[in-house]
Amino acid sequence: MYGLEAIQAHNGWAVAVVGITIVFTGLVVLSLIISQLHKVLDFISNPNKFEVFRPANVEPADKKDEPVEEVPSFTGAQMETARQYRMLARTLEDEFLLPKLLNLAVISGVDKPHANLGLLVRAGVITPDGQGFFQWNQDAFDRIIS
Amino acid sequence: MTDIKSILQSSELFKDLADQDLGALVSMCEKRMVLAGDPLAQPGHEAEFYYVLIRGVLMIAMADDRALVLATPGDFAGLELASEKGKYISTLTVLEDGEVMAVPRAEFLELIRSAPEAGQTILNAWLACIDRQASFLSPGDSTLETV
Repeated sequence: MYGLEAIQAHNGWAVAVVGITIVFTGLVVLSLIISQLHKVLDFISNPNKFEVFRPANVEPADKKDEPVEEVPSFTGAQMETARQYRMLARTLEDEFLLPKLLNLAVISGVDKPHANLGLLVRAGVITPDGQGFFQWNQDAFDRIIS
Repeated sequence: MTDIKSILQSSELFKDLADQDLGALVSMCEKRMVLAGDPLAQPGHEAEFYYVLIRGVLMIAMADDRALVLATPGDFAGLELASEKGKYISTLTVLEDGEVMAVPRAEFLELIRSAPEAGQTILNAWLACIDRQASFLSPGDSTLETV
C-alpha cells in the first residue's frame, strides 16, 4: 500500500492537520511574545515607570524629566541641516552674531536656511546670551541628533 | 483662525491693558501670513508698521548685527527695537513661517499718547521686556518722539 491510500490508512491527514496546527500555534505565540518583549525590557530597565511598582510619592521617570517647554522634533533632513549649521558655527567665535551665521548658511547653500535656523533657536541648540550674541549649545544638539 | 484679542491678552506687553484700550489696539491690527525669509523691515525704510508675533519665529538684527529672536506669541517688534525718527533701524526677518499682526506705527504711537494710562502700561511692560531680553539696547535713551 503506497501513496494517498497509505496516508489515509494510517490517519496521515489528521496527523498533518495536527502538525500544522501545532506549528502555527507555536509561531503565533512566539510572535505575541516578541511583540510584547519591549514592555518587559522597559520594566526591567525602569520599574518606577509602572504605577503598580511605584511608591506613592515617586513621580514616573519620564514625567519628572519632562522639559517644561515642548522641544520641536527634527526630521532626518533637519538633522542633516543642523549638522551643517554646527560646522558653520564652528568657524565663528564662541559667541557669534546670528545674522552672520544665517548669511554663511545662505552662501553655503544650506537647505531652507531661515526655517532651520528658527528651528535650532526654538530647540535651544542656538541660545541668546542677552547681549545680542548667540551661543551653540552642544548638549542640546547631542540630545536631538542622538 | 487665531483670535487677535486673545493673542494680545497673552502678550506681556498688552495683557494689562483695559478692555477699551485693547479693543482700540485690535481694531488697528491687521493679520498677515509670513513666510521664512520674508523681510518685514529694512533699515532706512519708512517705518509704517510694528509687528506682534502670532506664530512662527522672527529675527530682529540691529545695525551692528546683534540680534534678538522672537518666538513667543505676543512678542512685539516695535518702538526703539525697530525704528528711529520714523525710519526702520533694524532688519526684521521671518525665520519660520507663521502669522503676525501688523500694527500701524503712527496709530500705535497715537494710542499711547492719547490714552496716557494705556500708554504708561505699555511702556512699563516694554521696558521690562527689553531689560530682560535685550538689555544691550539701553531703552532709557529713547522716547516716543525718537521712535
